[in-house]
Amino acid sequence: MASSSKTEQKKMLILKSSEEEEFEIEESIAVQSGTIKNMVEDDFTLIPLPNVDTETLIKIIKYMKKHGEKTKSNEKDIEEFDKEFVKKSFTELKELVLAANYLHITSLIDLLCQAFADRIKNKSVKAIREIFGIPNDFTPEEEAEVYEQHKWAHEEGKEHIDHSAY
Amino acid sequence: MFLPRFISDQDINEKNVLTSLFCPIKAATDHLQEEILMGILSRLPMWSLFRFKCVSSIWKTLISDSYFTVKHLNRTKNDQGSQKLLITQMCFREEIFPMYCCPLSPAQLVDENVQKLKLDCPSNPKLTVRCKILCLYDGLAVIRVTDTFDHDLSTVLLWNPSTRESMVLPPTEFSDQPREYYFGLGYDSTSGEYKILRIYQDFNPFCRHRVKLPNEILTLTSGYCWRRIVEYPRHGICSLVWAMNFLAFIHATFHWIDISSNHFVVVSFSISNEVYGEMPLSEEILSLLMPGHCSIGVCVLGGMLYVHSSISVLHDKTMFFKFWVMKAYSVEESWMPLLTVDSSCFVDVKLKYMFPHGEVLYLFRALELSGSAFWTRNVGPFRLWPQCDNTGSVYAYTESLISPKSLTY
Repeated sequence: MASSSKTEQKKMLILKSSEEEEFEIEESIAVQSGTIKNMVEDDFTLIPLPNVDTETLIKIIKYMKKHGEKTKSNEKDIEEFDKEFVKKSFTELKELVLAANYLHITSLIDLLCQAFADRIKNKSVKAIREIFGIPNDFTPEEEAEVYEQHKWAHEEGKEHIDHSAY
Repeated sequence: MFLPRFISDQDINEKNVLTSLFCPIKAATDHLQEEILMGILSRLPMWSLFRFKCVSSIWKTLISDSYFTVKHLNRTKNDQGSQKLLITQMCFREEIFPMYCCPLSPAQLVDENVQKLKLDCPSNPKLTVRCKILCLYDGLAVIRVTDTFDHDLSTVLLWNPSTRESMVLPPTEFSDQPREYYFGLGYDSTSGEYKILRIYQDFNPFCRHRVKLPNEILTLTSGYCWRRIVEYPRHGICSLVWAMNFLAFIHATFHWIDISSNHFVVVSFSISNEVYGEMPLSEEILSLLMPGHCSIGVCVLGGMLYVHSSISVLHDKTMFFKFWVMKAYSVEESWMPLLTVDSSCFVDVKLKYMFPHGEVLYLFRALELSGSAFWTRNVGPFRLWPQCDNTGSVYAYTESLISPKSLTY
């Protein structure tokens, strides 16, 4: 991936966040995003991203830069980076996964979905509603019915259930 | 009606079935699009999925959706964490026959305290019953539940041990004698249906007047009933009751061992066009295994067909257990010897599972019912299952959400 010629200019792109802040990034790294790749093929060099705020864009650029230098030898290093990368609050993770989805960065979507799954699997039903901002739209009778259907799941392993929404 | 399998993640974006069910758009942070939600949900363990049905009606619909079931299964098939062992135990003295499931991973098999979940036999809990697993595929099991006190009272059910849901299968007009049939469960991708095959095996080779009962197939679709199928043309008399587990299903075909011209062959039966075939065994296998002097069966591990056999050396009272793998499907020359176990203290050795890195898990059963242990080539024994009269059977399965009732809806 490294350029052998010092005089060769790497094509740079400018990504613009929803707050109008601009970030320069090498095209070869930015095209990890399917959305950006399509726009580059349509000859864009200034890429407006109205769905991604500045903070999230900075994190995404950091991810793409790290994964842009992926080789056979630094796999462990990248794994460590990914592990640290997902140590964020649920709010931040939600922003990230929405942005990654919009930008079509498959590896990041997978990483974030897995991080979500790992973090929420032991949560209680109430905690899930809080984390995702989901209102309970069941009537008490309906909820009781759904609970009964898989009662054993609610009863077994009760001690493992985590009620915090963080 | 089951949707076709192997739908890629890209196809989800084109599927608008669920959009109409969504609440009015809230703030972007609170409203995760359905494809992202599906991506998260499909990575959750079963236990979490069942509980999260209570979160909201949308989550309930998503988790119950047949499309999601397929997506979830495609993921669990390749996920080591979703592989489980199903174990039946037979405590004759106490007259109880418990069933357990436990995780199947090298690390956890070594752990003395591995969590074993007791499973209730799907039937009237007031009755004392025994469960025999007839076959397993895609996380679904065909089981026979027999009353402990009246062995003639038995029902055959389709059961999902992960969801605990079961459904009674229709009776057949022919004999339901438990011991005379072998079952296989497989998926026909041409028609998008699961099918159960049952093959009649004559247990008494010396009784020539015995009426041979037909083989039958059951398609799990609405209005389902057992349908008689054409006989295997060169059916020999084959009494191999101890060898077979259930019919091996691979490459959309069922396989079992039969005798043709006084030597063993692998009979195949394709699930979609219901055609019989024969696959030869290698010279080496045939020279070692003669009808009448051994037991033999086929099974599937890690996408390949295996032959397992036990040969008793009478004068010695020892047994040899030999295994072969067919490296390239239907290529006679590709049968490779896997392992030979020579032992006087084991009464049975079976292949149970193949780990992603290629390591095969064997189950050894010791003499005098003193227990069973798992071994692999490099490490063993893993565990001796809790003392009980006998470990009935052990099978590996994948967790799945497939609902037996929805198949015949």
